[in-house]
Amino acid sequence: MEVVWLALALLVLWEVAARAVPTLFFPPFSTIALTFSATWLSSDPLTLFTSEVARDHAIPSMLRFFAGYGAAALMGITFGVVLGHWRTAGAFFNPLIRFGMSIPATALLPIAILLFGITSAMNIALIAVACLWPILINTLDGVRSIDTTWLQTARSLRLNRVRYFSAVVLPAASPSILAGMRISVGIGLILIVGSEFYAATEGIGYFLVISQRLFRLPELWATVLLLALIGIALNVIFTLIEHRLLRWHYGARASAEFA
Amino acid sequence: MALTPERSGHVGSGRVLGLAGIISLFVAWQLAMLLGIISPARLPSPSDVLLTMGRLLTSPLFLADVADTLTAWAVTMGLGSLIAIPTGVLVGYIAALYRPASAVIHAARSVTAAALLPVAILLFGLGTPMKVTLAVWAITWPLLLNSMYGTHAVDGRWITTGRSLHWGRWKILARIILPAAAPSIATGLRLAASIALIVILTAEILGARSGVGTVIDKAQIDEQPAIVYAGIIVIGLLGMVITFAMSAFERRLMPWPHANRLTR
Repeated sequence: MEVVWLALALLVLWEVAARAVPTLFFPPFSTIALTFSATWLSSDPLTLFTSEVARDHAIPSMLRFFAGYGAAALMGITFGVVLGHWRTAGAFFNPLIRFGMSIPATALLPIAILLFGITSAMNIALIAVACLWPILINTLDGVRSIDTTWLQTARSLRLNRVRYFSAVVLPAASPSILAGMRISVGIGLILIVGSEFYAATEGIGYFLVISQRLFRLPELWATVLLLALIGIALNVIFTLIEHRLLRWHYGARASAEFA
Repeated sequence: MALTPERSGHVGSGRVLGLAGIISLFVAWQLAMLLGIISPARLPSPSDVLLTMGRLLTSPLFLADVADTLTAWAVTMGLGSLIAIPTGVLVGYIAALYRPASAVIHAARSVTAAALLPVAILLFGLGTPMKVTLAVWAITWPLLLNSMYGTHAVDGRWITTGRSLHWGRWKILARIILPAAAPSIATGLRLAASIALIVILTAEILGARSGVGTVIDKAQIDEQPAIVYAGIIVIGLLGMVITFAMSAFERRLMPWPHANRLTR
């Protein structure tokens, strides 16, 4: 309670203010919550309590997100390990990576439309390109900063190449890799909306724009709330996975502090 | 091939390799055009793009759009810093507020600027106020967090030293806490700088009336791929310039964190 009191106080403030000064644009939080359950939830346990609107729009968006994110993770980790390990390749691609990193992904929306037209492939490609950079750069950094003692030990144990990368390099770099993957989750969520803004026929972003065009403010805010909740949920899941995968890391760091 | 990472010979070879990388990209691009792998309707040739870039950078209309975007960015940074940094320092200073405020900020962060764009357009229209409002929302949270963290994490011994020198609260704030928190705040500002640019460009591409993003958007609708690509390269260069400028500015203004590392 001592942590959430501020949040609750602000919500109450919003409710009171919105009812005192009624405006179309900021409905009270209770109205938004009601609209949220009306739009996105249903009472049918067979569909996991999701409404038809939710299934029509949220599922395609999330599928595109996971497809794009998965592609980005695969490419990012692979190239990150390669470029981090072989310094020449890393130096070769360095300016290109820095440049690619500086381009906001939404700026690539026009190119994506030029190349893919208005299809799901365009959304997936855009999400993939946007999510690629944090993962790639963090993997690269992680591999570069592996303690050379570990690498030399692996070499003197004559580990074969596969074991070298799977048992030494990847685990050693995993804190950095996971940090990059976490950042990419946030970016991917932004791109779900961004890529669907005027170039989609269904999806959460599409629903957002339609609600705006029809001046349906409660639905608009309910969708914003949905996106926020999805973001929080993904972060929580990611944290749980990260804690599981990095248990060894926390233990090692903790014992190092007492050494 | 060696299993341990190769060490490059000199720093210079890194730069040469980097340049080789850039050149190879252009060569590969030109080859793809020559071999007809990609049609010129979708992907213009590098020479086309470079010429268009030259044209854009010397066109007063385009430069006016660039100025528009940069002005919106500057206003955002100023407004955002004014709002977030003092609030962040205050909240970081008051220990009882630290964790509750962090919870609120993390929740507010989940409402991304992209999701708020439709609301912002309804409220503010398609002009610069809409862009600035959206961008200020987006940068407030990281700036708040960094300012809070920097203030909160000041070594207690330093504050105790100030107290034993009979320094008043304001003197401790100005001479101990703020300088100690400054590196965190600076990191927050650097982050805010790129976020602000991204949000402003996004707003421009997705509907605003003026700015660099609208140029790219129009060019895509008018089916002028050369302008689209040239515009994107300009945006990338703009981003790199801003990042570089902020780092250099930070190093001039705050030499002490770097000096600290040298003496360890």
